[in-house]
Amino acid sequence: MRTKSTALFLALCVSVSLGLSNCRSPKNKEFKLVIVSIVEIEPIAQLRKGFRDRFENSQFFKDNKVTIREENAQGDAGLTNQIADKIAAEQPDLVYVLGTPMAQAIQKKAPNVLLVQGAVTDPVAAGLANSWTGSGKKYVATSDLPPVQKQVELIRLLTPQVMRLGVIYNPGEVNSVAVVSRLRDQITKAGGNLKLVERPIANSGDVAAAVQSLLGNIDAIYLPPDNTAHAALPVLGKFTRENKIPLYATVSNALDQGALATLSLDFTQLGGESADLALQVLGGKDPSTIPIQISENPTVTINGKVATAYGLDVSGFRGKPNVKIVE
Amino acid sequence: MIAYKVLVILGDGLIFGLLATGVYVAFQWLRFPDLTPDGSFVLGAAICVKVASAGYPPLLAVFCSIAAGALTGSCTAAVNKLVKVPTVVSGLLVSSALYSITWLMLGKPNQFLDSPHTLVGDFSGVTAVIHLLVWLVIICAATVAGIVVFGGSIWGLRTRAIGENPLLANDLGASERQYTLLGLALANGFVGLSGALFTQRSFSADINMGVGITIIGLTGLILGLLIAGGRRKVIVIVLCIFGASILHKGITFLTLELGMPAESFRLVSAVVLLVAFFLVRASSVDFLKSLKWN
Repeated sequence: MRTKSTALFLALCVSVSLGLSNCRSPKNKEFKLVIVSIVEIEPIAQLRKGFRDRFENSQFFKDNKVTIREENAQGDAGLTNQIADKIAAEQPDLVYVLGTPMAQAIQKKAPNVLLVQGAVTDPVAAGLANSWTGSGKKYVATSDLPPVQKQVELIRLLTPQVMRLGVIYNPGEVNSVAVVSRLRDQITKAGGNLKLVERPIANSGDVAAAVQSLLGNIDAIYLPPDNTAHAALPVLGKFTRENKIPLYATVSNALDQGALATLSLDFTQLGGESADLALQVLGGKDPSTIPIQISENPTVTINGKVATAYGLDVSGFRGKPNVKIVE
Repeated sequence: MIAYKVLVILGDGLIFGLLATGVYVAFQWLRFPDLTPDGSFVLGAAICVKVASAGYPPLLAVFCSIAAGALTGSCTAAVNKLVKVPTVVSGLLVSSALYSITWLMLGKPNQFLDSPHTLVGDFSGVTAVIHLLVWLVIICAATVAGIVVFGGSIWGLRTRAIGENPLLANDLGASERQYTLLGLALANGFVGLSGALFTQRSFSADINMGVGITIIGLTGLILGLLIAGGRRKVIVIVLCIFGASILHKGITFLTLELGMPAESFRLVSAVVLLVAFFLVRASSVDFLKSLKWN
């Protein structure tokens, strides 16, 4: 799978760079790129790596004198503002930013610098973009919203008998609300007989009651990337295992707790996709009209042991790209 | 499935009945508008999870929670009586301090309790619910017996007299300070116990789980007084409170079953309380009359 996706990577790079070389005008110019991270965590490191790999392999990089500098705010709000000030003063050609508060600070202080964000959850709510279909500013981004369409497809494929899908989330978390409302729209749009049953929780202690009230009303549970609900993953896993209810989640550690399948984003790839967006702009596209891009290539991981216990047939998934089956 | 859910509601009702009993002691016996439960409930839960996870017997963990709850209650009484902070403010003060104390003690915002460390042990499904219910019934029966005996004893009568008429009680030789301390310790001991038992169902302690818990206890208390009508016997009132808590849990569970929108969850609880208050006003139960504010 690794080699396949690398091959895909290269193919994409070639096609992008070919496209660029056709229309790219002056060569050998000075180009300043700053990569800013808000804190050092694994997903951000992966995004950065994916971005650099893709960018440094591009024709644009070879044709111009690119200097790359990295900054990290280490989670410090004061440092975030200092870095933004520094960027406003030096006016680089491109800023690749990881972390929404960081992006907001830079956009306010240096609105004329091309800003590319690696993983934003809701750029419109954050005020970074005017709409999902085009930021209206010098801002392009890839989103880390879980691709709900793929999620619904996965549920239909793996557990076709599911009619009622339970969702447990904290309405106080902006990200969860965004994901659930998209899921709701997707299910309405897709028609069919899938129905969403929502259960609100205020803290992780509410999860047990929420699951118990869901029993008998649902055929499967979907857990959005909700921090509150994730804290109670062991409880969720316990109840769903006992009652043989398929549990779908978005983080891989849910599999250890008895989740049936997770649909998670590959952040290295997402970083690569944001590099593609940046290269499109450098190739002459207007950043204000590029839609916020949602990753369409999530990795599906299926818990083979749970699937067997629930009597599900996963043979159709073997050997498919982006699908992993763990025992 | 229906039997399972009824059992779950009964269990939940008993747990919150203990909470409401704690609120009853503070609000009715002492006439002390005590807001400490928002903190002592969480502390009880956290201590229970912490002690049980360390490998000690779950029953010991529950007793530790009761002790911790009693300690917080006496803190509130001390703040009120010694520093002369108004009643509501001293409860708020202690419960907000407890937020930090609980967090520091847990070391993180929430901790999971493994099922082998619960009272029930490693059972699952309906068996687990029935086992837990048996435990709850035993504990609640013991509590009711305890509070009835205490309520009729000289200390209990003095505590209640402090609430009814502190001046007279003082003249009769009962120290308002001591008995407020005793009453609030008792009240929050119940709350701590209810927090500890709640973790047996939720399998986790979360620093945010106490928010608004006093209001839930108050709802149980008011509904209970409503059911009790004009009857004043301690045993009747306490049993009515337990019945009302089960009823209240049933209503919340039902609204969940009916699938009401996520955002309106707290609103429904508030409306239930409002209706209860309205009914209390309409039927001449003298509730919350002459609560003490200083």
